[in-house]
Amino acid sequence: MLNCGIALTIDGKVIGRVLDVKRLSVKFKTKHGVVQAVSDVSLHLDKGRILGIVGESGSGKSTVLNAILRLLPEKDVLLEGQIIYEGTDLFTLSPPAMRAVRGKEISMIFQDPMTTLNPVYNIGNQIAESLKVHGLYRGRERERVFELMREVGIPSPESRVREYPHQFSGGMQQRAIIAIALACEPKLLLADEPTTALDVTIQAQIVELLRKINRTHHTSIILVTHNLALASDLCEEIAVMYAGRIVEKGPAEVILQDPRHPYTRGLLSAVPLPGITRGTRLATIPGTVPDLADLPPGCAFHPRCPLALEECARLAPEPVETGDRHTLWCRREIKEGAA
Amino acid sequence: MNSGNLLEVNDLKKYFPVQSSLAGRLFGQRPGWLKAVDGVDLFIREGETLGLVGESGSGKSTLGRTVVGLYEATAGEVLFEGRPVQRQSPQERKSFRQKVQMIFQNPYSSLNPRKTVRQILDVPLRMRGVPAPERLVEMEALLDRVGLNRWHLDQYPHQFSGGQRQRIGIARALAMHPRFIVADEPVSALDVSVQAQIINLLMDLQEQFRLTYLFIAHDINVVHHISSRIAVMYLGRVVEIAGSEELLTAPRHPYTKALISAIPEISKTRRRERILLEGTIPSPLNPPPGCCFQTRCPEKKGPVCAEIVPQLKDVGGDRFVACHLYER
Repeated sequence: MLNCGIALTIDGKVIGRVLDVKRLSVKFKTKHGVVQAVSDVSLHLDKGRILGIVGESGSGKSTVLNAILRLLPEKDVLLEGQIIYEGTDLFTLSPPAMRAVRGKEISMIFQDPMTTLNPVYNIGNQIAESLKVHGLYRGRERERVFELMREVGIPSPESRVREYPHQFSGGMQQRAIIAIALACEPKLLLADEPTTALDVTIQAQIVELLRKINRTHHTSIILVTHNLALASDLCEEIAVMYAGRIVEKGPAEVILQDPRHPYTRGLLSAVPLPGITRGTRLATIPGTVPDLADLPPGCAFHPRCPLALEECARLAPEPVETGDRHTLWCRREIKEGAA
Repeated sequence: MNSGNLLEVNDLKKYFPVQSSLAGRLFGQRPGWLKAVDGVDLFIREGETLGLVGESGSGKSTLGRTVVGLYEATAGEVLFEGRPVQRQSPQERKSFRQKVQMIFQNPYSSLNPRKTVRQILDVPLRMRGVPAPERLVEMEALLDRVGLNRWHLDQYPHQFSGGQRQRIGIARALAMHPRFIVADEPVSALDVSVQAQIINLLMDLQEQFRLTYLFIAHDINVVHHISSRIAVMYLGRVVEIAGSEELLTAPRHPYTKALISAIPEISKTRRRERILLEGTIPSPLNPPPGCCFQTRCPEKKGPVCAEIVPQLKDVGGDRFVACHLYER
């Protein structure tokens, strides 16, 4: 099968699937009522692949990552669905079993490097911590820390290992965080806006590093970003989220060159493109992202959608496969597909 | 001085004093200087948009703030309408402050949370001497112009979204009837779909009121979209100024080349070769001698780069580059 990467299908069972998110919903209980942050999200990721989740702020993309690792405060959150990691539903694991997964099997890189690192521990101790927690590289932690620092491109690890986060630049801090995430050789890396706080030349360095990690260790990566161009640069597949739902997903080229969902189209044409849009009016999406505590009925995008049908205000969108692993959730597409 | 230039900046410097530690002072260590802007020359033509790009710490915001007079320049001069800003009479200063306005990056912290939109817009109108009965009419016209409504007048900033707050900030600047607006990262805090609305608004206003902009941002695609010319800053200096199109398609300075190659592109077909720079921008507390970019430059020419500061030179075709590679 072409376009299928490493995943093989035998008797309908997929080999090499790392993660399967099935109908995930996340609701937060707040003073102002229930906030529906994620609604009915299904995703899967095969070994060695890179998936991008793209959306604006409040679209629920970071919440999906936090739900996968069960980092959300469980008493205030209602979780539905399944997170199948290598055949096990992570939602059924006991807290100690879940701790064995975090950092060792699945690890995460957060957005803001300044607040991710602990300011009162030196970099070396922070990288070694997850090795100690998981009991790996016993007696050889120090060598492993140097090895990791070299791998992520921190120069002169012998002296920098004793430095504190404030002595590192933003890009170096992010490299240290990636070293922490890689320490136990996880099979899946969740990257939540890993370059948003960084300058563009540093962003390019970090993107190259993530690509290298993916190639050399076959680590699967989920990249969450609001930057479509960044996702197109690194990811093979892209899922676009809006107001807690996936509205369109498929291979990166298809999503970026031939988007079908009105929201994806709007988002893409709102980005200035060198050589094409200069000096012209940019296409805009009228209005703003809806309040997740008070979502509109039917399709959450219908109040802003230029192509909305009368039924979009009443009925939730259904998935439509347009072939080549490209799916979108839009009622107009069903109508036009049938017509 | 070219008569078509609204603003001219000559060898502008802004240094901030840095306190040394108590122990340092006891041992006779002298306080240092942070050279945020270190000898910038540029001009802005009437009615154009000059984009200013650079990474964080390159001094672009400091330059913007020094130009509008929020910071006092350490050295050098700013000419507005051909008159030096530093030697203005009180009347001239008042008129300068009316004609030059600023739009800030963070729409959450640039509006007073305890004032309603009415109170926020009342201040500039009062300063301009608009009599009270006419102020309401003008406020409504302003809100309408930036895409808000009169029923927003009695709301507080927290009741608005980021994009709407940025519109209030723009209305506040417009209320003074400015000729020149410094927009410091006006869309960086906004989501893509809202960002496009604000960019369109700024371009429409420019056309309607014949405004001149200094548009500061780190997103080169956004700057390219709105600007006629772009200036690139690195470590307190302008390294290249060129027309928007020329800068993106044929950058000259090695830093500009690297910066442009680092922008991720949506199109998968025409991928540029990426120049990966080593390391990070040096500290403006201790900038390298010679060319500010010599520590990371992939095209370093030789000892001259480490010794002599390259000056911004006209290389023809309305382009200026500060690099020894282009010196004859």
